[in-house]
Amino acid sequence: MRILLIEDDPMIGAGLVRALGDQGMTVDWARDGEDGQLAITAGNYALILLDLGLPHTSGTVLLRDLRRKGDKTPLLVITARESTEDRIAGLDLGADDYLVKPFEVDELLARMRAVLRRHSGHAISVIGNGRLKLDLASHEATCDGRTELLPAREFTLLHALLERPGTILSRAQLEERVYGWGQEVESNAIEVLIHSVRKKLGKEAIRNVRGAGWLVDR
Amino acid sequence: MMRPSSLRTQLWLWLLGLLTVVGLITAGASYWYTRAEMESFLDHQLRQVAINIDHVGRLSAQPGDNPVPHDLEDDLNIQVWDSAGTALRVTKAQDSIPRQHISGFSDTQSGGLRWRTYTATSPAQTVQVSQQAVVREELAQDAAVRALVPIGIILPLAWLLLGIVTNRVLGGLDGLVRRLAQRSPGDDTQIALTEVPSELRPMVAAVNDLFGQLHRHLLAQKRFVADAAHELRTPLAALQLQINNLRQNNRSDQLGGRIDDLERGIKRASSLAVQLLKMARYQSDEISTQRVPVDLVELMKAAIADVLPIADHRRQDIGLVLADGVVVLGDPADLRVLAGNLLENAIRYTPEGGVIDVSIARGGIGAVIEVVDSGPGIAVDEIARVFEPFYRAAGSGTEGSGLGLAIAARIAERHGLIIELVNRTDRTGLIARIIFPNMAREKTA
Repeated sequence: MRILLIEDDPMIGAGLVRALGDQGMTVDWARDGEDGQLAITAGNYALILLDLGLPHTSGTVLLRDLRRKGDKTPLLVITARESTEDRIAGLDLGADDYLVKPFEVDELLARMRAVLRRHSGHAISVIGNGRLKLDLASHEATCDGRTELLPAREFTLLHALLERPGTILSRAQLEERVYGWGQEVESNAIEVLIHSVRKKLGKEAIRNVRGAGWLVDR
Repeated sequence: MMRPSSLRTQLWLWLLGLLTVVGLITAGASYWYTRAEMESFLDHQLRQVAINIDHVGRLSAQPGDNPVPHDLEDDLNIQVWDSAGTALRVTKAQDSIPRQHISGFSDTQSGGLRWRTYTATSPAQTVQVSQQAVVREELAQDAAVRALVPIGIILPLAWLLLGIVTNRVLGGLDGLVRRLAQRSPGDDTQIALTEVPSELRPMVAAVNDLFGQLHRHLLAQKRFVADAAHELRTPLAALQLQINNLRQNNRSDQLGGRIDDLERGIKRASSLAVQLLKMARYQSDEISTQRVPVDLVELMKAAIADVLPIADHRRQDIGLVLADGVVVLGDPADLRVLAGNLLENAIRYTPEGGVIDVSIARGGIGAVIEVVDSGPGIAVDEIARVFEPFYRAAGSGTEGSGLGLAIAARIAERHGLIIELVNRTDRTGLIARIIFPNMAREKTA
């Protein structure tokens, strides 16, 4: 897989080239905006990593030009700018995701995978976090190598949780998703469903936060 | 004596003193002049009487003729002698005053009394008119005292007027003082010079100038902190990458632990840079605070989810014990930082295996979020100080940036919220409370 890295900082650039190389990717490194533009026209990249604060042609300008030309290459922005306005501006210009320095390599890799998945069109068929996967077509859930077919309500429950990993959903929110609104539900119905999912996928699959609700890890 | 520090008191005291001195001098002078005037008037009277007595020593009016009852002491004593020295007439025999031989005024003593006497000698007769000195002094005194009355009335009146006038004139300063007192450090508006008395204009101009400088310095300082924190991000990101690469290529277990230590250090530096940026951000006036409805239960659920990994790592049990449905108006991102900082603080000071309880309640004063930890609590004298940047509670030994509560305080201030820290009474531990005064709305489902 060929990746184009457009980054002016030599330490970050060298570090990223090595880190991505360790993952078996081929990385071309452009050190300013102009080099970046040249590389984009010349090569065919699976993904572009773009730093916004570049000399000569800024990352913002490069990104806008790229999208205007109709180039839809997946692009992930890496920047030191943190403010929400900057994030929104970057995403509005057509970036697929946004990562703020300093970041962890694992997070970068996860975001790259997610961006690539979305672009490949398979994104909607399987959702999940690091350890837990849910196939939306077959209703099969996989956790730590164990694969189980889930009944409808257990599937809906896990689907609700996996849509937003790391978000706590309260009993009321889960009831609404699983049983629909305004339906009479037994007070421990959600606990019963969760107990059942845990029995199939392991206790760690869904965790509880006392008084607040349940979540799956990010 | 201590020098009075108030300009008003000083001015008033000085003017009061001056006025009193002038008043006393005027009073003294007029007293003295009136007395002198009276003396000379009485002397003139004596002389007129003496020279108007005819040869037979008769006055136009007899002493006994006076119908008005009066003090006999006030009467003049008139003595007439002929050229031979025979006393022709004496008004008051009992008060015989020795005959003077030279014309003119003299002070004499007779019958135990002091007299003022005018003697007019001619070849034919000697006329001597006398008046008791006591009477004269009384008359002079009375006249002099009457002359003092207007001054005695005017002086206190002038004091009063002086007080009113100084108050009015200096009262013009009060408005200026109030305006200065109400200024916030970030305020860079200038005080209009046309609104102040001309004497104060140079001072107000200097103050304006100083405010301008202060404002520029504050801005520059805030910008510097933000820039510095920002510039740290890139090298920190590079370090993190290199540590990651080091770990990838490391085959030695011994080195692994050291890489972990190194990574912890980098993470701590990174989080400090992030906190510094947040601090600079919330201190600047350039960003605005949104006012949109925020569901406090959802806010706290999200904030708890954010800190779960740290709580798990420390094997702490964090949970919601009360969740009233409350919606407030505020900036969701800012409130999330505020709640997160209080939760992180609770996690940091609660020992491993401890319990952290979060509650959201709607009460009479508004909505209240409580984060109750089972740590050591906090010394009462430290409670105000923990909101200062980089202040860490004594003996905490934790690795926080020391900015969490300072940032929380800034966000609370921007939102008009109150943060309270109180020690638990049922056991050791701290209750961190965010109060949303008068802004809680019941959540409508």
